[in-house]
Amino acid sequence: MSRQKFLHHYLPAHLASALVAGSVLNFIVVETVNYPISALGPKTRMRPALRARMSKPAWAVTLGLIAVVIGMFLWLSPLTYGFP
Amino acid sequence: MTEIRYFDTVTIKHKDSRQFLHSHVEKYPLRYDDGRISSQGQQVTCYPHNDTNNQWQVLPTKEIPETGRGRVVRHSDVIQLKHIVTQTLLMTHDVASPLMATNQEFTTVDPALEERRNDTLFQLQLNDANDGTAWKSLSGHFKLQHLPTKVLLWTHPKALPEWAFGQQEVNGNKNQQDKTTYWYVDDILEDGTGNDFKNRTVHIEPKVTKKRSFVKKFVELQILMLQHNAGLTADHPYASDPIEWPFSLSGVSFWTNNEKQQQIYMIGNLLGFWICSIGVSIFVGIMGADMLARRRGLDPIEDSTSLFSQVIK
Repeated sequence: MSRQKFLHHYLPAHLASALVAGSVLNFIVVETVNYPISALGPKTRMRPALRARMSKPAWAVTLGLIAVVIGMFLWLSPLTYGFP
Repeated sequence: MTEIRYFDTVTIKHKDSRQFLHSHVEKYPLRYDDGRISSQGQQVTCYPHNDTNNQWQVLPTKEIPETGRGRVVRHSDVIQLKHIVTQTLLMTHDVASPLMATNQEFTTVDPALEERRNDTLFQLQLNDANDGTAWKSLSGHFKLQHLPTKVLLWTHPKALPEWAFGQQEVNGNKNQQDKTTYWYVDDILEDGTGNDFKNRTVHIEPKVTKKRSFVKKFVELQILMLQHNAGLTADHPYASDPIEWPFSLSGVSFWTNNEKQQQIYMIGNLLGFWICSIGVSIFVGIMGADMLARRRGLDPIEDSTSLFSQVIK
């Protein structure tokens, strides 16, 4: 049976899926992650440093996605925020 | 919460639809659109707004003392309700109601008509009460059972045609188990003796809050939600199926203005939702494939340049 949709039905799930989508994108466009990921402490064992490098197409894809999402927001905002 | 005494003038509200029991001088039309025939009695309806036609006086059917506690109306008392504006008594009889042929019509009758007196008798059935429990305003939820025919005073959210100004129908419900037959006294307007009635409930014990464990409260809330959900019958105009939510196929209507035809309608960022949904599907796909491959001794995703494998070792 259908139900009336409320913010609490989907917002937490949507936020979690946005986080997952971010790491999936990271997984696809980048070979590795920045390492070390935490600051050096007294008991930390030292590791060789690694830098995540993004290729030019990867930058293009990421920036493109961010641009369309922002564009969509601007396009729909009159409806959602009730600008005349 | 004030105890109700005989000869009080009260307004009565239906517990579920929150509308006042109402009557006015207009009569039921002799013939309805479907060909059935009415008693042509005075209309009894439910009306959402405050109005002098919502006022009813509680009359006794037994001898009551001039003063004192004997005038308090109690559980299972037989009462009459007099409509103040038209000075007529509430009654029901074996005539079909305007909208439901299965239910009895409610109307009012002149108190002078002695032969109709039996039809004006109603028994007060308080919810969760014993003999002797006093009838109180607001908290005293009650059913009103017609004495001769045993039907319950009832209303349902269906509007009568124009001849009743689109007001909500009131009729006599035969189903004694129906949970929507409860009413309550919304306000006491006047006392039959002209005394100060606001302060007559001398002493009300403050209710002691029962202690319950968190688990009990949690379980109770879950059960209440499930019951309420199972009892839903009407569809909402903006209802949507859960499968539509991850793709933001339907929005949320935040605000509407009928006069100016304005609306604020929230649509999620469509591309944002779709990208996220695609991302989650890819994640599930990769994880599934990886797990399957591992089962077969393959290692398609290297453990991130063997960094983490070092840690594990």
